[in-house]
Amino acid sequence: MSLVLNTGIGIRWSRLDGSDFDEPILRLAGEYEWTLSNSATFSQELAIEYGTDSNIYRSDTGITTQVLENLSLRFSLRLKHQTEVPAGRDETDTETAVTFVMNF
Amino acid sequence: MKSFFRPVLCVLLATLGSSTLAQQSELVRELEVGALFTSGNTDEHSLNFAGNISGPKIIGNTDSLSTVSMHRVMMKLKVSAFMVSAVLTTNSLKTVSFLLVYLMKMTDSVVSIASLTSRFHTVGDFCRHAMI
Repeated sequence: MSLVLNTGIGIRWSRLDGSDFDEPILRLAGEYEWTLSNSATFSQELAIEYGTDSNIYRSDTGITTQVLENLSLRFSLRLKHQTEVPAGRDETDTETAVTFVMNF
Repeated sequence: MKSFFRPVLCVLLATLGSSTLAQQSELVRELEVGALFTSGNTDEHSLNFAGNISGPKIIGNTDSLSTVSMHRVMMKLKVSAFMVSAVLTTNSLKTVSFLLVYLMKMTDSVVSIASLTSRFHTVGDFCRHAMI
């Protein structure tokens, strides 16, 4: 079981046709990992990026099961939510992945 | 979510470090292949490439966190028909980290983030030992 927290400041550059803008951001992030068993691991990452114009929230949830010595099966769900987006774009993006992971 | 989930290839490339470097720092290299389902702005036809190179998570005596040193280098590269993004993260327990997120959309917008981060709290095997 492990927990890692990160914080920092930065700047976000956004480039859009005819309306470029920059903004300072504050980033808070956490990474949590839980060993469920000898062969299974649960992980959760959360990140918040506070900006003057928009906020971005990120979440990455995954569970990994080792099936062979150097081969694992991973299921992960990644979410990204941005409070202010250009017209015509979605505020939330999701990525769901089912993958095999080979360590070498 | 979109009405049709189209599986696409998801590949994690971890060949960014030389073998010498990998041996010296015990880097972890992974290759990941599978199906990816997307919704939102991410194009479902996209191809995703990402690399993950991680150094030893815990070095030293875990009973004394002050002596633990952690070095982690992670680089992700994501490529699609409409998006190119790269994430480079370098973390060290006692040093300042640097995070660079670069997102580029070929169509209408480019978003990039550069952030200077500092790792201020690490609980590794300490919790596991505590639970036992």
